[in-house]
Amino acid sequence: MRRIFIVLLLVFPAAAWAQSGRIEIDLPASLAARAAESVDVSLDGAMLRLASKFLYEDADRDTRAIVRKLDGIYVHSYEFDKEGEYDRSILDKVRAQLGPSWKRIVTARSRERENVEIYIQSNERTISGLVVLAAEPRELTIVNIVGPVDLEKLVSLEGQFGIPRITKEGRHD
Amino acid sequence: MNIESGLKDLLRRSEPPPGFANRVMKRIAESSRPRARAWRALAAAALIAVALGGWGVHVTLRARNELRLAMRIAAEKVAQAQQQVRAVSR
Repeated sequence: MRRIFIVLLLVFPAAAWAQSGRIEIDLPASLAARAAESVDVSLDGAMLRLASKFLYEDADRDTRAIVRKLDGIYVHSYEFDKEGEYDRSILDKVRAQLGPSWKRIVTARSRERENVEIYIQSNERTISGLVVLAAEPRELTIVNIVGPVDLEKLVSLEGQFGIPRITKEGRHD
Repeated sequence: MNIESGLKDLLRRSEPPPGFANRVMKRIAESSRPRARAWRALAAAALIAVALGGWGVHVTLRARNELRLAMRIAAEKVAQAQQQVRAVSR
């Protein structure tokens, strides 16, 4: 009986975690050390709400609208000087966590640019989780957004941070 | 006894009992000590509050900058995938 109780205690949080749209991004510490540039951002719901209170500039309006509903943002991005500096099995470990509740909506492969995969977890009509895997020989990015995220609104943020917006023709504004 | 001699008797200069001055000074010191302690505690509390407040603002501003960066990267990657899909479907 005690064993069953312990198993249930372990299984329920794991199941809740899996349903929450959150994935475990377990990256080796050596990855950041090898990278020429690295970004590691882990903001849970409480930190997001706190941080969003300081998004008071006009340019932050859309970001604030998106972030208000979210429960977490986790971004890990690395740029390397040389090719083959990261183990591609990292991506397989992330993919392995994406159970049947996750759907791959985009796979973009390119010789010139990075390969991007987008996965969503949806509850009825809303997206409850988003995972973006972007990989190229010298760059690796893993994004996990937890909570209802509007992809169109998210894409519309591009160009608001001082980076050029990519047009339909592939040009930069 | 007439009034004059009665007043003289009352207003006659007399020496305080031994140790009187010390006892008075001690009492004054005792009565002012708790107040000084309270002021010191208040000043320390205010200092801690200011330090914590400053630290809180620092943490929040850092979180805001990280949030902006995270949203920028997420938007960029999704837009890139969208653009690649559009390029293929043309």
